[in-house]
Amino acid sequence: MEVVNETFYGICEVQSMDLNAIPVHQENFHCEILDQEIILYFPDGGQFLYLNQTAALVWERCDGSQSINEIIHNLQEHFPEAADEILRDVVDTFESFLKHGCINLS
Amino acid sequence: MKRSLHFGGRAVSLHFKGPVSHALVDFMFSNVPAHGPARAHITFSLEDVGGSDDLVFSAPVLKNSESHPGYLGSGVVRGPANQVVSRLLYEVDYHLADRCHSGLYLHAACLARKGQALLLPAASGSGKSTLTYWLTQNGYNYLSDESSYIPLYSQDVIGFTRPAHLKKNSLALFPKLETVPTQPVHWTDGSLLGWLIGTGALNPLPVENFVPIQSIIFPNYRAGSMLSYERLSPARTAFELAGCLTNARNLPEHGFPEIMRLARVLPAWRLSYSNFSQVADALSL
Repeated sequence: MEVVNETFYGICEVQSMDLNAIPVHQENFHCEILDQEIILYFPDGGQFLYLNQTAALVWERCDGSQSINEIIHNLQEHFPEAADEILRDVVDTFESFLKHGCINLS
Repeated sequence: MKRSLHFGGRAVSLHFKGPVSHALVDFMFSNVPAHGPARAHITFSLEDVGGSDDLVFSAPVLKNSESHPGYLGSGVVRGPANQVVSRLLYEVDYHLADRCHSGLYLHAACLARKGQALLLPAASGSGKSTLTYWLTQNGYNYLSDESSYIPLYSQDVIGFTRPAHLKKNSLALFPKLETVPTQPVHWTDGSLLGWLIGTGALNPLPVENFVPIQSIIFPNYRAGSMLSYERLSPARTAFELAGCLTNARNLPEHGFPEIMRLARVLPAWRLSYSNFSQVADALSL
């Protein structure tokens, strides 16, 4: 079993990610929502992933209906006081999702 | 002589011969159940080497090594007791966990107080055994410093009650250790790794005692750090517990449903500390 620590560090490279891409969850996973946080379990690799509240908000929007840009704008509308941080947080989150193979971009 | 070791619904068998081997087995496993419903699925042997202080420990070579990821053992080891003992512990623990299908086999210390258990899951090097020993000197009963087992659908825990393994840097913290039964543990190059503290000095609970879990603490010793005692969310608890599960591949959905069940009902904290007065403050001891 692999347990992935999702702690997001580092300076994101916004330019390296296509913000018009549409993220979709990987197909085979179990999701448990606990107090606005999420535990994802991927049976194929026995992998667990912990999503804090910020990452959980992003994950819930990866249903194939919105691009990354749209998700950023959507969250900025919901949390205007944190609009400046949302761009970086969301891109960091997507980088982590991609690193752990739990979403696909189309 | 033959000794069965039962834990986690499984058993291993140890054949031993000679007074040094006998004494070592008694020291190591006197608080581990010798009887139970499981049949031993593997047999180890431990034998004195005549005319020397050496012992020979042997473990069967596993046929399907690819199905045992991370396994470092098998084969024969010869050396003094203080070198053989760490291999013996490793093999017993590995093979009990390897076949455990009936519950969560956790890399976790556990202790009991007033009939309730405190679970301390943590990776090696986090100070788990040192904290465990200190707690046994401050009102807690010893269950294990390394491996704990929670049956499926249960909130009770039992510990693999072996001697506590203190690393050499921890010894200076406990001057009284000079007066209790210990077994040194050395690396294969002969350098000192630490000491095993006999269970008799650890205020152990009677053998085969399941105890309801009251709470979970994820300990983390950090030299020079301030005390941090942080309540964890259920999701974080589940994630941290999953990281200490050693038999996930044997369990339905890698133990996910059971981990989630426990994380929903058991309160958990992360304890970062650099000295025991901080621990005493955090736990109100």
